[in-house]
Amino acid sequence: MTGAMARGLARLESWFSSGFLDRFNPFHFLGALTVCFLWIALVTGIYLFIFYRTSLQGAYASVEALTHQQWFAGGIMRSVHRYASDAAVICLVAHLLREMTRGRFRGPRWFSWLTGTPLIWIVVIFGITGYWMVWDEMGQYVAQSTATLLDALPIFTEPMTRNFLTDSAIGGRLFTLIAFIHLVGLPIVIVLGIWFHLMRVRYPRINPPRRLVAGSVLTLLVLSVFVPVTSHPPADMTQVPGPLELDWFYLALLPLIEASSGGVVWMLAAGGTLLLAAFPLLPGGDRRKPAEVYLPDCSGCSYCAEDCPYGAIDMVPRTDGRNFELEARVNPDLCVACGICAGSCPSSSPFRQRTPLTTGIELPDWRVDELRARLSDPPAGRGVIALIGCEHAVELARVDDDRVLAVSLPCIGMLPASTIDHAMRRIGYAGVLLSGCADCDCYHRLGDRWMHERIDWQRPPALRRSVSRERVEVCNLKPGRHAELKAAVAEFRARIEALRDDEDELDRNTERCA
Amino acid sequence: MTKPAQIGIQILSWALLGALVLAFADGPAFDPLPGDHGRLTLAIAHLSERLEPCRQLSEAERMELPPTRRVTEVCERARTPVKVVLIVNERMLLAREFEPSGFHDDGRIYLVERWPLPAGHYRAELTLTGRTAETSRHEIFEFSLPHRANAVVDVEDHEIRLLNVIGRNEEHTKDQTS
Repeated sequence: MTGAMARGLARLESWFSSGFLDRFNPFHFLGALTVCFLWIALVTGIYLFIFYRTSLQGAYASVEALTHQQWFAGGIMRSVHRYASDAAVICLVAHLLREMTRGRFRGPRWFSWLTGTPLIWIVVIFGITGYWMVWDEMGQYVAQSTATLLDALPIFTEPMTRNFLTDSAIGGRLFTLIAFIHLVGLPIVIVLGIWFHLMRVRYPRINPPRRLVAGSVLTLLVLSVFVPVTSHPPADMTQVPGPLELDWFYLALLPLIEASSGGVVWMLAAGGTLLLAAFPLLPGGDRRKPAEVYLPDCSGCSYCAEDCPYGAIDMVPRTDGRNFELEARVNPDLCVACGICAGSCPSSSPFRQRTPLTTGIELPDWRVDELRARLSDPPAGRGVIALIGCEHAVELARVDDDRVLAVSLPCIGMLPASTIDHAMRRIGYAGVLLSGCADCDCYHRLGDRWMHERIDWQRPPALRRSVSRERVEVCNLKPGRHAELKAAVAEFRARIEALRDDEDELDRNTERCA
Repeated sequence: MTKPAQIGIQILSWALLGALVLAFADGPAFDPLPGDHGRLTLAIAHLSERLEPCRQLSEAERMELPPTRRVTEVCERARTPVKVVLIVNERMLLAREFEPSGFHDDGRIYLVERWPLPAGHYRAELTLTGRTAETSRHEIFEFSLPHRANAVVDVEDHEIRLLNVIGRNEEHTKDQTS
């Protein structure tokens, strides 16, 4: 079921990738886009607050003045503020569903999942308090409904709803309080919430690419100009407000109060939240054992600690008495067993003579020795290609070619760069084709980036400079794009065969000259 | 894919986002009331009588107390529950006993209940029954409830008022408006 959903999602994302390219695909930046929309709401909200009056009579009048008297600035700002908040909810929900579909709530990722759950409610409370501030019929409905909701909790002696029986019952400083919550309290809470959410994520992507920011702003501006936001009639406690053009992104729960009761809505909300928070407890998702350090091969170089996307490796003082200052230590609670550390360990070189091949740090379930063994038995014939890829990217098994040897790794970042050199120089492959996740969508966040940097000599341990880069190719494809992988294999084969012809001719010329 | 096709997909994607925002940001419309209805709200904040009446202290009892705490009478904190009955046009909308608030049952009885009612003319009978007949209240209101009106029967301790609509209280025989 989850697999089918993940494939369906990959197909949908592929369509977006064909238009935006992988590196600008909005699906790869849903969390960052949520933050971006919240930023836009914050900036426009500051402008709106300059003109907002925090009194019962002034609240509605000031919002109306903003909307109509300065429609070209305040009106647009108000609309952008509102639509950006709605777009933030869309991105938030899409982000949640995407991570859920890809199973990225299991294992050590439970922390980010759990700390992300309350953020949903913080964003919803943000929206609800925002609607109070307009103090139109919608604000009245939202105020009365949320008061009913709060009264269902045994926290107030006097029901809050008594404050909304008549116009004269409403306190003059109510809007000062609501404005403070909306403009100061909740922004602080949400920043802290995001900080917690990203606490265990190294190099988090908080901002989307500029192209997506520009697209977002432009979309919001077009919506604001052509469908500007307006208010309902002013709040009037002698009347029941309605019919209301509800903002269902934020207020969808409130009509349930009329249909049931505040208690039922609380139970639904609390039950849904607990259910969501309990996702990491779901069975399934075969988990590999965390990485292990093998001290005789660890020189304490820190490359693995630098490269680990989850901060699961600490460098600690040496314990084995060898003449090194530090050694790596894995925190099994944080390790997702991606194997990137094995790819960053200089001792993972398959050129080493030791059998079995040991290395400073690696996955006990997927050892570097196994990688060397699998590659060392290529199919017979000339022009054989080693196809090494990530198990979360396009499926390598779909390449049905007897001159290709395919090896899937937990992450392409697990591949030691020296393996490429070894495969061609020692084993005799004509070329190495690397298959990673789509650009900016690495399942293990940084594996694809580290692999690129290693083969481009930007990150240690890098590929040897003498290795012909023409015989090394990288393709980044989403699952399901087998046809493109097959095409990439065919194109790569044609290229290395052309290279072989050139080399043969060069050899013949050399012999003639000799 | 050609550049124009890529730009087309990008424009379509942003348009989809815009359409999704518009589809739910401003509707579909919702009405908290059924068509041609108004609403009757009963709001009570009522301090009921004490469970035990206050008792005068004898001189001997007063002398046992510290000099700064020699009060003349002592009162138990707990108050009695109150039964609230609301009958509107001979239909019983509410008949329930409410406990005083607070850990020691010494606070007010609080209640806010709402009922949607078809627009029209109504006769509402409200009865608050305490422990004794002297502390019980019985009020009758007659009022017109227009479409969307929010009629409030507000009980605040000993004052019972009809708010937000024009009506008549039979006990006080005077128009109550706000």
